Amino acid sequence: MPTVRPRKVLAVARRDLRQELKGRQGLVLPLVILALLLPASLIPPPASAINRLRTNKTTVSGDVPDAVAALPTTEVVQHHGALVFERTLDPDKLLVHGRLIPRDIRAALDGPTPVVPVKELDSGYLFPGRSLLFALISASTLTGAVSASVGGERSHRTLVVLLAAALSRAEIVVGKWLAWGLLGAISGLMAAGVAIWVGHVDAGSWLIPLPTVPLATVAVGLWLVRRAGDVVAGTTISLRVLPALLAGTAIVAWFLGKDNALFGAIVPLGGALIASGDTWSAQPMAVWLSAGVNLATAVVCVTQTARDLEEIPARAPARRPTALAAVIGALAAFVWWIPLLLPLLWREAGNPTLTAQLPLAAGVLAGSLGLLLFTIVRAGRAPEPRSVLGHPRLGARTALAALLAGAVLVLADPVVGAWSLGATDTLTGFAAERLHNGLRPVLPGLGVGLLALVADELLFRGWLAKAAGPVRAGMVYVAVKAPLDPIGGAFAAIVLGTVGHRFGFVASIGARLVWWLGVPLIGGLML
Amino acid sequence: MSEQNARTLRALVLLTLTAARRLLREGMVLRSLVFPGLIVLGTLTVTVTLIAVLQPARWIAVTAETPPAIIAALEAADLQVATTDSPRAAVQSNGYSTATDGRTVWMSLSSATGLEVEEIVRTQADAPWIPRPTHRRPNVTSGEQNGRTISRVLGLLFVMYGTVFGLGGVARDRDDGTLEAELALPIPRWVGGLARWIASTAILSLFYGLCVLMIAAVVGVAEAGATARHGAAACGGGVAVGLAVAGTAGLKQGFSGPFATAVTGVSALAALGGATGTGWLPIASLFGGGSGWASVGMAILFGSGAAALYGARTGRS
Repeated sequence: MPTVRPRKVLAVARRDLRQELKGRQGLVLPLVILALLLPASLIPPPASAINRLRTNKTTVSGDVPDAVAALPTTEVVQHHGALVFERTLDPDKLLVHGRLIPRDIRAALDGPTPVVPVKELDSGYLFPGRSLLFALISASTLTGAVSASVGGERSHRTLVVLLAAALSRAEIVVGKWLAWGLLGAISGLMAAGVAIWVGHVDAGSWLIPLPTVPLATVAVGLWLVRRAGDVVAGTTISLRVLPALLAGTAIVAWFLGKDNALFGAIVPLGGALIASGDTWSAQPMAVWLSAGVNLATAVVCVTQTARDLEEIPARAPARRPTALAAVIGALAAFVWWIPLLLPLLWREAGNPTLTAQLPLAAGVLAGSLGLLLFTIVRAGRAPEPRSVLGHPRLGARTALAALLAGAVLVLADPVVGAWSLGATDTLTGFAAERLHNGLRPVLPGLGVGLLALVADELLFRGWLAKAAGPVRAGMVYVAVKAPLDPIGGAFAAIVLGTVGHRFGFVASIGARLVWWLGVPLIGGLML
Repeated sequence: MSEQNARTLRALVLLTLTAARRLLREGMVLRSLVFPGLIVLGTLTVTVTLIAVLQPARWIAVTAETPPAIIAALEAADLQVATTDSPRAAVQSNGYSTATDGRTVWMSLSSATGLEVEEIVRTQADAPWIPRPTHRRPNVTSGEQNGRTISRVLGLLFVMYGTVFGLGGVARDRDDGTLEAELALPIPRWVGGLARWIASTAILSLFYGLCVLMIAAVVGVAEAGATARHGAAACGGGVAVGLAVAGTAGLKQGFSGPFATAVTGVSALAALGGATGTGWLPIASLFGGGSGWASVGMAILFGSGAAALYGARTGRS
């Protein structure tokens, strides 16, 4: 059980706050919090905006009945109104084309006794009110402080001093959590107090979960950045994860709480966020539960952060070749398959027009650039970027090898390329056809085609073959580029892998080029 | 070119490469750059796949008294019917968007099938007027509009990253001693600022550009080139704001205050663009209009200005 002495905790909290809030620069954060929270408290409810929406005019065209044209909420236009009226003579009917018929227009059409009464009902779902903003803003403005809290100590080399001092890890983490969590909680409560004072919201049980939102958010934030080496790393994590987490859990909590608030209340972060929006005030159990869940989340995160807090964060060991090949294969599959294959799913989801209109060239371009980025990043991360691909071997033997390998691929193409797994006119058939364009030389456009083959060779015969071995790189190539044409893919992987391994990636690019240009050339000659 | 200029240029190139490699080597930074595209495209893929596989049915509540002719017409319109005792309760609390007993139609305010049901019921009742619901099936044009909106929102996240790179990069280097070593080099002090700006902007633009291309491939992006240029300009603007706000203060004078200022400023600029349609001001132009070239030009000016400010401040420190 870690030791947590209140005086030490307070000392850490005071130090953190003093460090961030000292001097003129230190005034900035409170001023920003004030500038964001005060308008949320003081600006009156946007009744005028709601009224404006309610009195928005509906454009109507065609055979508009006089009763409708006379309405103050309609505007008669010559063509293409939001509602188009059409009078048919046999039978004598009035057809109303449109997506939504406003109540007043419906009433004007129906007259005093409607033939078919239509009851528009509120679904009864409760939506969070403005007090949700107090919790959200007070939690969001602390991103910078939380990010700098651990990463900053590391890059500042002060974490080692704290850890070496007579302080336990738990005291350090709890101190940091209390410093920023309480700042957020107090800011949120003050904003709520101002809003209650000016009469824009009524005091209620929503005040209970409100302070737990910044408290839990800061705890989760500290846990997220516990291994960050500096503020840049810390901030990029909290900046991308915390808003997504707050929004995502809030949406989940609201959906779960639509039928039973208790289900929504058990969602960490989101449950209390929705409860602080005065959504479930009629159900005190849900309000208390959401606050309790948030505090429990905070305790778990603080405990885990204290457990993992080290001066130098443990680095993941270097990946073994098979693991490296698997990870790169999974990422490459995502980068290549999504732009090429996702357009096909629109047809399956009921929108064949969109599938037909999305050009294949855009998919090949995006996928190829994505694969090329793998090599660029790898070179950027390597101590010696030029060593990533190996030194290119240029000369007559390389050119001859490229020519021969390309010729083999061209000659074998009609035989090995005919064994696709996808049946015609099925999803797998269409998928195989699209993937075929990435593997075979039939590519849309010279620039895109060249980019695709260079990206392939730099990755699969270049650095991945060097880092994970040519066999693993070849297997990844077949899995990513030709999963529905394994025979053709494996044959290409063997030929290109052999020439790439023996003569370098320049030779394999040359072989791909010969293959790419040779197949249509031979086809043209035969025709 | 004089020897001093050549040395300055060489230093700029080397410092830019070093700054870029430092960003790429940081696993957390790299994951952050990949994360937005991964989340957007992953979510889209899962959603479309689920719709394609499950083909969710549209359910309508009917009562035991609903005439069979209406039920047959509903089923012919690909609507699934379920019998209920209380059509009002079915809509209000049981999750149905529309219900009918054959004489009355109950529908929720956001019902997409309400007009379809009303059309069937009115036709059967021989009512004097009948709604004809028009459906707007997404095509490549509406997809392109949505794609551009997604790209713009993603761009805002990259701008935030730019602010962090500009602001946090200087603060970090100051605190770990790297900045001191850099300032000892016999080169003008603005070179370090400009190198940071170029490296951060280039990396952010590269990853943002790839995101736009990916989205363009799967749903389409209206004016994809202009959207990418506005995004690149916005990234440059974000880095410049970060550099300008950070100065050389480092963590000794706090990070959260300047960070909150920068993020608020960036959000305000984006809101300005959305409200006024400004096409030349980086960050604002992300939600504005235009070809994006003017915005790129302004971003270069902003970057140069931020580097000059950085040089002047380090000269004083």
